[in-house]
Amino acid sequence: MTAPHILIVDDDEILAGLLQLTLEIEGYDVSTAFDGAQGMARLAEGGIDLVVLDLVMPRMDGVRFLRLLNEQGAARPPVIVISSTAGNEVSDEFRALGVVAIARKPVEPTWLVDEIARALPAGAANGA
Amino acid sequence: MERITLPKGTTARATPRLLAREGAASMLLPLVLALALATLHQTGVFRDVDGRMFDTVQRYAGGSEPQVVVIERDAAFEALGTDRFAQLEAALGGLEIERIGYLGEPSGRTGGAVPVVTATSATPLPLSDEWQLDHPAASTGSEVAARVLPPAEYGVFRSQWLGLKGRDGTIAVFETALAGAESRNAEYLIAMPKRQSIPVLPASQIVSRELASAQLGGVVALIVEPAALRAAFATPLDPSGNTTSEAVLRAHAVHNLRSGKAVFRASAWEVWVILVAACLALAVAYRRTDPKRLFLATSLLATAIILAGSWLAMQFAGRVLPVTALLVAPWLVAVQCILLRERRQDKRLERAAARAVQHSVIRSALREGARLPDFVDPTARIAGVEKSLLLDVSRSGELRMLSSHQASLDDLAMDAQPLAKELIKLRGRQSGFDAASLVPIWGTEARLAWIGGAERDLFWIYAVPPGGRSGKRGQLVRAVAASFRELFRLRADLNARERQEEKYLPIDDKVASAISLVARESDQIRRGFDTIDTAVMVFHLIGSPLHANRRMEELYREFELPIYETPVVDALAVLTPLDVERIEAMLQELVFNGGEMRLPMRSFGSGERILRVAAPDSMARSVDRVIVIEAIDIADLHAAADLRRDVGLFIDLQLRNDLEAILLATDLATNPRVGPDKVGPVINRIGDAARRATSRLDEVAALVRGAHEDLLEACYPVDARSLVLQTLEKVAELAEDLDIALDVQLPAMSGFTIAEPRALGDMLEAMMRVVIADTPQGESVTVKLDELAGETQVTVSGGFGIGFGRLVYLLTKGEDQSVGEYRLINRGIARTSKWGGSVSYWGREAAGFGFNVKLRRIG
Repeated sequence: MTAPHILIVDDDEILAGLLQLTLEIEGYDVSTAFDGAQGMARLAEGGIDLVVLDLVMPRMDGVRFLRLLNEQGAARPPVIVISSTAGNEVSDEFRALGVVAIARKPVEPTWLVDEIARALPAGAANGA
Repeated sequence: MERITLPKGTTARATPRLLAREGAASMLLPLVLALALATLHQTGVFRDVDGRMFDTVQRYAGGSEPQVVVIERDAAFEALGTDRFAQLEAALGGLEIERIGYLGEPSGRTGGAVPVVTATSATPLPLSDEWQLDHPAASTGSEVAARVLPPAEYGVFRSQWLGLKGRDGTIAVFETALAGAESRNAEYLIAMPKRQSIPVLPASQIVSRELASAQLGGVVALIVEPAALRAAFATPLDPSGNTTSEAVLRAHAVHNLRSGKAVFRASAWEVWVILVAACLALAVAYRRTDPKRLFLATSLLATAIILAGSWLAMQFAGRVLPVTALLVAPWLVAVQCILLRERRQDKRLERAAARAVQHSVIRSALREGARLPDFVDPTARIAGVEKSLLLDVSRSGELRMLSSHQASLDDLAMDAQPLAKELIKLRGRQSGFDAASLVPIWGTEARLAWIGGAERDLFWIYAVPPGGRSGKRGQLVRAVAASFRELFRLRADLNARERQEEKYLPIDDKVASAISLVARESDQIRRGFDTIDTAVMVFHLIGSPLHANRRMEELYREFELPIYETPVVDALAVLTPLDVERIEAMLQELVFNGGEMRLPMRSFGSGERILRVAAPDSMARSVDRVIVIEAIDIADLHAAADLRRDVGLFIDLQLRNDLEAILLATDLATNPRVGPDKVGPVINRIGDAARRATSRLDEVAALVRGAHEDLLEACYPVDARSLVLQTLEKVAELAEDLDIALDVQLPAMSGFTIAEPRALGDMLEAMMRVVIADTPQGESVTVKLDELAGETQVTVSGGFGIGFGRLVYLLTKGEDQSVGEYRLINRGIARTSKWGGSVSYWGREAAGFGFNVKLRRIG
């Protein structure tokens, strides 16, 4: 069974790299994108089960990314937002845009892993 | 403690007394001068010049009908026999001659019908001022009169007596008797115009009755021997040569007396009155004017008046005025008035200088010379001096150390006594000297400088450490030494009156020193004032402006107020919304009780200010009260607060990223599931995140710790989206009024862009306004914010279009030359480069135009 594929969209390359390593250890396939536009491009390639998204990014910020993603309708993957500017509760607006969890940096790695596991569809959950 | 002593009589009470004394002196001195001139005149010092003036005037005067005829006893007449005088007198009687005068003895004359005067010599009696006639017995029927002449005045015969004092009364002088004038003890001057005709006839012609009957009616005849017609005297007719005969001289005298043209010298009391009046009039005239400036014109005018007056007096009053003394008077009075006023001016200047200096020196370090080391040492340390010795050498050769820095007297290679003698030789030298041989132990470049002193001399031996900055340090130390020397010199000049050897230092030098010291202090105060970051102005108690700093001058310019001509009440009436009545009441309260008040200030430009008006308590009780107004820029305070808030937010948000990275990396490094090959890179990531966090903190640390004034123009991480939105709010009304749509394209969130928010906001607003203003009604203006990696772009575009050349012209004129919105844009463009950004623009007529602002994005 193929491991779930997670896309990390964050303009902070150090952080994105560490997140990638953290999730790979947990048995996920991980791709990274450094802004919303790159993230959209990667999504278009398909196979993404979940997106970990930062909000403040160049070229295309996280909110715009979510809006574009939302336009894809039911096919959109769930999104977990971790951002310095975010609150800790998912607002209705974010929920409507497909956000399943939100946290303000810094977040505990275990919280992120737990939230990812919870957010992934049952069939796509980490089989590791 | 040394003191500056004010000259005596400088108190307010003494001033009127001083002025009254000066007023009396200004009148008394001309009186003394008049007396001196009158005395000189009486001694005859001016007689020659007066006489020559008389000669000149009279020589060119007009003549009149002759009152005398000279008859020469020619050879033909003398051959007529013994009754020739009888024939002559008979003939003269026929010609209706009034009186006959014989200058020589008419021997054999027997008398006749016409009155006759015979001249005979007279002799002054010894030890007396009386005279006696040498031959008092006269020929039959004639009056005997004295044939005399007063001594020549410097070689010129121009006067004659009316009579002589005799034992038995006045002895008639020949000319007086012949003219029929009154004999009295007086002297007159003989006017001898060139144009005056004095007829000379041979006696034989008279005797032969060749003249018509009554032809000489009403005149007198002066009968002379031929010898009396020979040229022998220098007279007013020709003062430079002996060309006038005795007969002609006496005939002129007779003519003068008979025609009433005799001129008399002014008497002693007349001279005194005239000179006093003239001197006092001139003194009064000079007192009401500036004698130095008008001295030449006034003196020349006075000279002209005196000459004209003298001429009139001579012509119409028969008086010779003391012309020379009068002509000298205006110049002497002018000089005396100038000297008096100069002396007064000097006194005033000296008082002013002393006061100014007292004010300055009282705050000066040099007020107490003993404290000098307290200033030299810190100054030396600031200047980077490595070693320093401050030596004091008395005139008697006593040497002592006042202070030292990393050095002692033991360092000196010479004993105190010989060193003191050598140092004394350098007294007054302005340049420094190489002192390496004096302190060889220092082993570096040592210098020696005389830094002034009065009773004692101060010498400074110092060493500047070698190195790259030694040149600059050396310059600085030399400047410090020169500065001390200068201060000592100023102080010595100003106190000169206290020391005998410089007691006569000219007032100009003292005043120059005072002005220099006060000006320097004033300049230092002004510079200090200008460093105050708020706009400050000081007014005198009476409301007149005393001093404003640069910021206040700019503020006055904004309100179009003339800075040094606007009284405090008028200024506050313009700067605040208060009415004059309330302002006056407030100022009254402040002046009486001191304290301060804060007033709202009318808004202008982008600033938001309040006005603080204060009369310092300590000042309010003293004589020199002042009112201080200070414009405090609240907007500046707001800006500083915004900066701190934004920087705080930036630190918070950025550090959250870094902290997140560190947490993740730490977790991974301790996770047993992470292979050894990956632990190293993970740990490196911790270092990277920590360094990045430190670097971000360093970047904004200066802003967090910076002083208020440093922050006002600082650029720092700002939220570009918020800034653009705020700017859009400001131009929304204009766009609505012109029916222009704003097409705004902004990201939902933005990161951090480096900028000075006020300047960026002003520039963007100006850009939006010029584009909106150029856009046709119903169309739109685009405002777009793009955040790229490391770069934020703000684009403002739209409008009908401006040619690119025109746009270049408008945007490259520089801030000073451009106007309106373009001025703000130009200012913004200049500032943008300081933030690491740039501004570009494009335009074409009928195709729109726009601006693109690129800024540095840091997270």
